Formats: sequence, C-alpha cells, structure tokens
Amino acid sequence: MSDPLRLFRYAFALIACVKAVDLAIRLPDRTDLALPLLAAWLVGTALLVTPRWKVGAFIIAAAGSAIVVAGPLFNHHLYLMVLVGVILSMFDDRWHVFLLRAQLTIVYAFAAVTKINGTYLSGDVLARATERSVLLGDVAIPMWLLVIASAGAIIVEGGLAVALWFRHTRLPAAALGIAFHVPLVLATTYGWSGGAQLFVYSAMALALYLPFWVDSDEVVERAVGHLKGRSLPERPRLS
Amino acid sequence: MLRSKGWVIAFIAVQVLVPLALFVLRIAQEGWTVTGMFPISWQMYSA
Repeated sequence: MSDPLRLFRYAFALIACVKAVDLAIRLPDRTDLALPLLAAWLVGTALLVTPRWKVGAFIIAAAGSAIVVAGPLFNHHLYLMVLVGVILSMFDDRWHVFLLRAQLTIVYAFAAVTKINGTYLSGDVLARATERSVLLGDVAIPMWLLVIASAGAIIVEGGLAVALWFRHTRLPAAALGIAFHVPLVLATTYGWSGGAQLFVYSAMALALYLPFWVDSDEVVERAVGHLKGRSLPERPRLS
Repeated sequence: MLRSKGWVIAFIAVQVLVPLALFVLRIAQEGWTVTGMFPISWQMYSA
C-alpha cells in the first residue's frame, strides 16, 4: 500500500475515534446494544493502524451497519464510513484507490445536486445553520451573502467532484476543498454533537483527497484497462 | 475478496442508481422544492 493510502487509513482511524465519542454520547439512549456496538467500533478503529487493518475496516463496516439498524442512528457520514470500510475490507487492493476516489466524487456530486432547490438557494438553510452556530450565532449575516454562499457551495462541491481527477486542477481543487470545509465546520457548528458530525463529514471528505495523490495517471489508466478487460502489469507493493 | 470489475461496477451503480431512483420518486411526489428530500444522500446539513 502506498503512502497516501496509508495516511488515509490513519486519518480514517482518527476520524473514527471522534465518531466513537459522538456515538458514546448518543447511542446509549437509543439501544441496549450500545456497549457492544461501541466496543466493536473501537476495536475496528484500533485495528486500522495495524497490519490487520482489513479486519478493522470490516469491523467498522459491520458495526456501522449495525448502529444504523439497531440505533436506529443514521447519519450520512456514518454511511460514508461504512462504505469506506466495505471498500478497504472487501475489495481487492488494486481497486482501493479508484473506488475511494469514486466514492468522494459520488459524495460531492450528490451533495451538489441535492442542494439545487429553491429552499437551499434562498439562503434559508444556511441562515438556520448559522443562527444556531457557536461562532456566528450573534452575528447578523446579510441574506444576500447567504444566497451567494449557498450557490457557491453547490458550485464548489460540483467542481470538486470533477477537478480532483485531473493533474492540473488537483492541487487548486484540494486548496479550494480545504477552504470550503474548514470554514463550513467553524461557521455552522452548534455544540458538541453537531460539531462532531460536521467535523466527521468534512474530515472524511478531506481524507478522501489522499487517494488522488497515488500515482494518479496510472490509477485511471489501470482502472479503465480493467473495466475494458485489459490489465496492466502489477506494480510492486510497498507493504 | 472482491476482485472482478463486475463487483466494482455493481458497487458504484448501486450507490448512484438507488438514491437517484428514490430521489426522482420523491420529486415526482413532492416537487423539486423541499430541502432534505434525499432519502439516502450526502447532505451535510441533515446530519
């Protein structure tokens, strides 16, 4: 596994730790199975930074799925973590980079598409989010600014879904993504639970930038070759 | 371990087509106006 993917795995483990704290607060009120589910989540998280990382990813996927069902506690970022767990544990190594990249593209594309509606574009959604914000709750933000920010969020997420795939746009896109996610979390955080959830979503999105730095052109070429039934020679694995 | 391109295509297709179908269904019922209409989606504000 090349370095960016190893870094991604460590980032995934760190984010899963934050999510564990959020789960520890919210899950006990919802199910009697909170303790075993939390224990499984933590075991999976710990294994992610060991040579048994595939087992850890599988446990994260299984525990996350069980939390959604038994909680029931569905969050979009939890679903994303389950899917990443599935990719890392159930798919062959040669598909990891392509699938993780595709996953981020799917996330951003749907995030952009679902915001294209009158309610969101009116700025109301951002207004509600910032009204309860810890940082901006007392600041009167002009509605026109929220309208521009709403439209900007759609353009940014839609653009990121595409721009990260190309060598020439990758670095500016990553900078734009960081400039988008960090203020988003800071501006809309409304307490621990909401803050943790916004953090997990943004951190997962930013961590998924890392696979775009793995031998970029070769990954695309290899994936297209596989999909067309051709195979490139296997490159040596670093670990 | 899933190795074949069929599994990869299926994995991506399910993630794209199922939410899209539910999305279209919801729009057909309620119109393209409601925020939070996506049943299985990635809206950051609906966490």
